[in-house]
Amino acid sequence: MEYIEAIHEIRSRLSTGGDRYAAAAALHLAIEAWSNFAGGDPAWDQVGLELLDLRGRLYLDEDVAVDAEPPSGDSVQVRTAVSALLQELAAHHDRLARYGHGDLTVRLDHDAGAEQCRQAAAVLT
Amino acid sequence: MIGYWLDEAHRALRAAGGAAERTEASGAAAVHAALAGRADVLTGLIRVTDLLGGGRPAEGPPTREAASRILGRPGPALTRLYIGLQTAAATGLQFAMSEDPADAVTVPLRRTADAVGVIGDILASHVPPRQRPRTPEGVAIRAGGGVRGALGDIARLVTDVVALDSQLPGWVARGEQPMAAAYRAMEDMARWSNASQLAAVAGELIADAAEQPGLIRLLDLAGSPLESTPAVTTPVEAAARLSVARAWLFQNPGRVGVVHLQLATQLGLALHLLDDDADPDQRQIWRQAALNAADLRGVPESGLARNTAGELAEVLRWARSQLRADSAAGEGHTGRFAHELPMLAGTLHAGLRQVTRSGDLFVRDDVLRRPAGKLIYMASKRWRPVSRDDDVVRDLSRLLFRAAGPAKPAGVSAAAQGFPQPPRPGAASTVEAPARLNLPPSASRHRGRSSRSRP
Repeated sequence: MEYIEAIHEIRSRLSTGGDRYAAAAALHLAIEAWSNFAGGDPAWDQVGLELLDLRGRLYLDEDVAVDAEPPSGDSVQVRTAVSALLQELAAHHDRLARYGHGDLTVRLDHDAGAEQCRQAAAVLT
Repeated sequence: MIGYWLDEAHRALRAAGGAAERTEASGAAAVHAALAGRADVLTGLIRVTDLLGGGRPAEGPPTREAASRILGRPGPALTRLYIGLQTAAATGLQFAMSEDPADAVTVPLRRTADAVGVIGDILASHVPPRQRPRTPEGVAIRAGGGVRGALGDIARLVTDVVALDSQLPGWVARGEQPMAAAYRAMEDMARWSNASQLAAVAGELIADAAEQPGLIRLLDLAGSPLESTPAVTTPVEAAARLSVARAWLFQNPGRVGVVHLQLATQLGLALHLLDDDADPDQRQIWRQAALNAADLRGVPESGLARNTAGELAEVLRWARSQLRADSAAGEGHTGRFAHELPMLAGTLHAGLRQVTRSGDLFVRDDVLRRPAGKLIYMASKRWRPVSRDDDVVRDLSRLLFRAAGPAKPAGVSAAAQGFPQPPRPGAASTVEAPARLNLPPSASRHRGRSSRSRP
């Protein structure tokens, strides 16, 4: 599947819910964009650092991969798509912060994660 | 829980405002007590705002006129709130601390101040001021968790204070003894509170928090604290902590673990992003190293290795927050970290070799199940110890070697690499700190160690 197509698919799965790997897949796609745009805009590096921190805190045991082509190059289209994906991921973490059943620390972590996703999304726009 | 105390404070403050509207001050003692109580409430709110993530501006409290201007301008709501609270608290009045008369205004005000104090205490048990967080909840709060929601609650209390301020002059004027000075001061306070947009700033924060889950309301006092270490708030501190961490790793290459590799490579990238004069090729090297290291796993750290990882994590957190703040565009941290990073890379390179040999580093077993037709699939959950020949190890090793640069930085002996290098006072003068960070000139002094290389 082509990269941007995969992003749209994952986004819709995140918003409808029901796919427990959708969030990890979203993170994977975003990190993959970063790792492909070597030597480019430092904004991607800033995003990448936030994503790695997020992964280390909340996704350590959830490593998924996505069967899609890597993005062909940095473009407005890719940035818009990844930014929207991160916004959707932020909403997902918001829901877990609000309604999750874990202890307070986990929910606080999700709230922080939502903020990180939103900030990363803002960097890309 | 903090939520209980927030509600208590809100109820009590509203009660005080209502009483001020309906009753009259019973005398000078009551007026003094009301002023003292109000001051305590505001001081407590300032403390809580600080603990939640700052907003504390670099300079001291501004004049009322300057504060009004700042509040009226667009800018980060948190800083404006902080300045507004400071100014509202600075009434310039002296009040005698005598015993509290049981007045309809002063009793609930005292209850409010006590409640806000407890809120501050609970928060501080998790995020002690000027130190690294003590609990996992504290770590999440420092990363931003729950903050927006909590600020909405604080802002609601601020709105209550503004409402109280508008009632206090009438309360004094209707009182038994005419108290011209107190009345005038309270009129001033009320006028400023109302004109200054403090309520508007509070309104912004309340609106921003509307959709947020009130997580910090659920916070309880923390259990016994872990070790406390200073937080990093300035480039000078960051360089010093990094230097200490790097020195320990250099002296203990057998204790280098995956967490150190991951945090340090991410930190290398972050510091290159902060430095406007950084070499983009070097940045690329650190980026690739961070990506490689992120794919590794290892055994958890213990003891001093864990402390060192904590130091790296704190400096990384600071670096990322600097990138987010973005207010210092163009004001680089040139050179401050430039000499540290190659040494860090060399240290990691040696450590990687050792931990590979010890078998404590793991890589994913390369069998990816790819169920037909599925877009998302689970990467293998099997991990095996790395060997020297694994691509990820070879690549990471090569990258670290390149980041370490030429064999020895000129003039620095191998022994000197083992000791923390305090940032030189001279170097600090060529670097302009972002306006928010106050760099006192003596901050670069480092206890104990000389910066000269040893023979």
